[in-house]
Amino acid sequence: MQNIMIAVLGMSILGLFWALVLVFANKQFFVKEDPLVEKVIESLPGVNCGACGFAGCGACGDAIVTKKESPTICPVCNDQTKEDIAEMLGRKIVKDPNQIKLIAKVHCAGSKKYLKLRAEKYNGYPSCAVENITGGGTKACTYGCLGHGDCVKVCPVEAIAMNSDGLPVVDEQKCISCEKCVLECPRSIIKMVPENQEVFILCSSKDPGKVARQVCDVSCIGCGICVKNEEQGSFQLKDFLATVDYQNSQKVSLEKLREVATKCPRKIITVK
Amino acid sequence: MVEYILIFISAALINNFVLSYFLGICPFFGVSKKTSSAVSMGLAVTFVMTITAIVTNLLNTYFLKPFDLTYLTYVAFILVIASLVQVVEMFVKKTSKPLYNILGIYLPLITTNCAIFGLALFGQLRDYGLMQNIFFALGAGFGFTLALVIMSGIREELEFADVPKYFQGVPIAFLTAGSLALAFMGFAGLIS
Repeated sequence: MQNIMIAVLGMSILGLFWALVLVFANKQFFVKEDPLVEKVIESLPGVNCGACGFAGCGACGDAIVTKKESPTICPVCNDQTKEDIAEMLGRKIVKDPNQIKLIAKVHCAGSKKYLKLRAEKYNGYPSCAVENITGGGTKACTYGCLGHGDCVKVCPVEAIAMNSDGLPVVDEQKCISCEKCVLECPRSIIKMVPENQEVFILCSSKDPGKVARQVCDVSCIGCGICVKNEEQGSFQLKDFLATVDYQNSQKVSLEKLREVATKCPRKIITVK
Repeated sequence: MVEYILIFISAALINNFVLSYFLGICPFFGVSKKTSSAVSMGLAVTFVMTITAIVTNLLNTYFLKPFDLTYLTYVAFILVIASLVQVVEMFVKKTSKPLYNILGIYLPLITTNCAIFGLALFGQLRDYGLMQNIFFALGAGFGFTLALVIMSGIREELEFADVPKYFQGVPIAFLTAGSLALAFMGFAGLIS
């Protein structure tokens, strides 16, 4: 009993003593601070991770207010919080105007309408990744979309949906350029393209022309006619597959691109 | 005197707090991006460690031991370290703004850091006297600063290195820290 009394009394005295010291110090050494700094610090996550390069959220908040650092230096808090902080300070988050948003685009148009099947039915687990390793899948084209929607499942903002032909379509408005679908697709047919891009070749087949022609009606056979007809380098041919150079094609007029598209023997160059 | 120097070197190099005890890893990775802030952080830690060493030693000798309250070590130490550092922070803030900018902002981060608390507990465990404890703290603080400055130097260089995509950022920092710890193991035979 006596032990407990000593412990309780001892700790109480210790606690009280330091509490008094703190009260005294707070009164004696009080420094007035900008109330804005406190508000900004409260909005920050408060995890003190130091990933911004400052000692913690306190130092970061102080730097945002006094040293005119942008709230975007915080890698933890979301865009809404950053905008709130910027609004608090009467500033605006300036986005780089030259930076064009990238969106995911499925580079395959081979729905069941156009594409031949080599097996009647797939009975396995409905997942592209699984079907891809079981003998290359049911579709005759070994580069085409398998259509089980692994990309749909992985998308964090539900921007991808399967259309009636069984191909995934990305909603350009909803896409947040996270590239999760790019990594998820076992056939790597989803690629990031600039938002304002207007011409596409939606095929990923690297099969030689003869094979590509046999397995799919909308495949690129690698004839190179588009490359020859466009001098600015909008189209490039590699491994029997013509691809759009998204930088060069921005400089070419739409009329010219449409004209090239009509010359494609497979009619697979799409211009918006 | 030799004894004090031995304690200092032992705490700074051989039993480096970060690289051989793995204490204080959080600031080691958090504040090692720029050399300037690494130095400030190191100084702040050294400062808090020295104060901690003095206070906990006094607390241990004149309060915990005589009343047979050593089972309250953890609570008492945390209480005293945290409140004392708060007081010091307020004092520095009021009296010297430049010093506060160098040291002060780091102080709240490290009041309950495991390196600080580890130091207090090691001091008690090894029955150090007041002077011994102070030298132990200075050595530990110096070792912490050293590790942090070396790490920040390497990480500044790493910014320009061609790091594979999946190793960029924290993974490569951890790998670097591992190699650094291995290098510090070389000090193990320094004093026999």
